[in-house]
Amino acid sequence: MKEMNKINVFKDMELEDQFSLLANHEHIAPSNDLLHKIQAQISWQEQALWSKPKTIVMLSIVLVVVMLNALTIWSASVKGPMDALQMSTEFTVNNQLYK
Amino acid sequence: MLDIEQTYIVYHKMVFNTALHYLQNKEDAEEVTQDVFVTVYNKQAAFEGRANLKTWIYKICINRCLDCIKAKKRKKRLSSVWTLFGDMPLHNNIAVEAFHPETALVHKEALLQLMNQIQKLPDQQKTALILSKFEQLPQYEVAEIMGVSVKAVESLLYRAKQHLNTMRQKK
Repeated sequence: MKEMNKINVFKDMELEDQFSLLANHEHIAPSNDLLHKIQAQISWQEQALWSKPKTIVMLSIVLVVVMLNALTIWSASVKGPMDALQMSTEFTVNNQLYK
Repeated sequence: MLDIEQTYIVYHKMVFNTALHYLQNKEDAEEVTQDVFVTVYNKQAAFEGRANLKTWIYKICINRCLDCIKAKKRKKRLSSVWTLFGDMPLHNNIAVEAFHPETALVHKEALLQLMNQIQKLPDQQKTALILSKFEQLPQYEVAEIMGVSVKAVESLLYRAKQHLNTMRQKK
């Protein structure tokens, strides 16, 4: 009953009083190991491969070289048959002319 | 170079308690606190002492809290959709676990009610209320953190109180 009365009194309190009741408390602290977790996350990020600028530059260079190689191979595979076709056409035309 | 340990020692309680007021859940508040300090470390170059360090940390904290609330709402919506299709458990349909040191006292029920009502306020009003009333920051500081004018903060607080009074009258 006493408890209920206290609750009712609280409900009737002005909002400002309720706010000050909620505000007037000691700041509570998080878990003790939170700082270690933060430090661990930061050091993991720093060690991570993709976060280092040097690694990014190296990977970009490797990617460009691979793409250039692929382009060369592709163009050779297309150009080879084209050249053969061109030569055979020239040969046929020349033959026709000399006949 | 920012000494993260020193920064943590000075500001960890401020960040954790602000997050706690927003999220009403100790685990979420700790997650946000961790995220805030990692962001502070990562973005220190962008900070360059242009503003007060405390104000900057508050800003990051509020943004992270709002992101966390949005993510929770998204999860809640998703799990509600899943329940339409079958017997998927409604993981996030748990009532707000109000966490506050004062809730251990006799006022628990009424305080929980008030805190639940605060959760229903629009983000801007909630932010102004938490910073001004619970963190007891002066209005000019709240305005600086929120990136609005002092007048706007006053108006937000007024509307927040009106909202809360309306909610109380409906009960």
